Amino acid sequence: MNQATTLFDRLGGETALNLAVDVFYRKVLSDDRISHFFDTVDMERQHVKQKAFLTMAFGGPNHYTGEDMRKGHAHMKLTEEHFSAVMQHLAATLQELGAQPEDIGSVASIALSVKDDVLNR
Amino acid sequence: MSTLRYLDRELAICGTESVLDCLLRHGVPVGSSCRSGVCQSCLVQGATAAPAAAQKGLKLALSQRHFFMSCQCPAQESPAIVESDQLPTFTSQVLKVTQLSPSVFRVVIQRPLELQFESGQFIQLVRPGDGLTRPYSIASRDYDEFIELHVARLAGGQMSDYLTCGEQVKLNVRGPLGECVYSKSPTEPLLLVGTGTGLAPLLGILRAALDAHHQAPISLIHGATSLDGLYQRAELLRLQKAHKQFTYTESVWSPTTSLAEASSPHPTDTAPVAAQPHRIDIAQLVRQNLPQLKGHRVYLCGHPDLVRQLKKQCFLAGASMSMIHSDPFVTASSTAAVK
Repeated sequence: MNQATTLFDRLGGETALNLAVDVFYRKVLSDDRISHFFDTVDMERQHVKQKAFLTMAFGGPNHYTGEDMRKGHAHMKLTEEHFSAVMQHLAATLQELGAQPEDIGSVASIALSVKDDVLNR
Repeated sequence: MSTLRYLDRELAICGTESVLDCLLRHGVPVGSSCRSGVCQSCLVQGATAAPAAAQKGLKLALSQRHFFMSCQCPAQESPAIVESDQLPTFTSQVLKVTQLSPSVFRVVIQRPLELQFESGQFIQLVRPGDGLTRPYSIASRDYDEFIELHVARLAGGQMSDYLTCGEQVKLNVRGPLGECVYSKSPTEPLLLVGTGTGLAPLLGILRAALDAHHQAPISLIHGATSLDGLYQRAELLRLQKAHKQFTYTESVWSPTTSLAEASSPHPTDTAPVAAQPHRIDIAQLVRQNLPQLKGHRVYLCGHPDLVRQLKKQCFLAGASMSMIHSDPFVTASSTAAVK
């Protein structure tokens, strides 16, 4: 593993991100615990949102603030179970794409860093 | 000092700021979120094309209409920003009307010289006088000198009555719009699924693909709730016979259609060699015929509920979201008046 590169580059950059979005979105849409949050009329729009989330989790360019995260999720009344389901799918997606365990850990840390904002705590 | 044109205002640009920052600084309300060119919350529409970086990842239908992400475009390089949905308008007239089935008409209109489109896109027809506007998909080829539309004549349908009442009926045409166009990738398997006059854009795409000698399998599934909704069967069966890579399947699933009706061909569009249409739900037919869709390019046109259901089904069956194109047909009686 080349430590000089960023997490986003090590995961495969834009190409891997585009693959990951489809894999991840399929997983959440198939999970009865959380699919209702993602199963909207405008699947393309939801897909774009998933890409924005994965870009952040992959350590890619983003300027999300804690306030953005709170505002975006406040109305959903999410619980620990919902958050943990998303974390599971995130890790499984990365495993499927052949990411290294250390990098999967780094992605999980980034995702966990927004947990309190997403759960509005 | 350089300025950014926003509708009829000239906004002073500060340094190297983005279009988004410039608009917000001048009090123009624009949504934003990631500010990194991913979330597409800050879309605005330009009068002309914006720099490519500001259109990265946008759907064709948006980029063709010069939408761009305002956070990714330096204000200094921005085109003038216009109100959304200002489309060029052309004049036209009906040239020929042919009945394809008891409820569907083929309406050929004059092609305005300046109107460039790709088969499968749609245009908005505007009735002169009262401005009544309805969207119709283009079934003809991008090089044809006319435009072929398929019009379902609805009870009390103001535009369908107007279009089918005779020749030389005057029209205004706005467009083109829509992203259901042939991908020009001859090795991608294609799945075309439509209901009712959702066949029109699919026929446009099919014609473009066959013209381009598309090599991979092309599967077209046309469904309707009654036999009246199935049309162009003879033409599609002829194409199936002439092109071995093309398969045509039709489906009627209305519980009210009797077997006697099902076996009688349309008086206006006879297809003597047609097999019986399938009698199952079109989504089930897609699942049965094509359970795996990895690598497929998928086009879905027709009833909005079915398009939505199939989009999810096809995505879960392995089709990439970027390769699923849809064109839900919303009638004027629905809440939204556009497709």
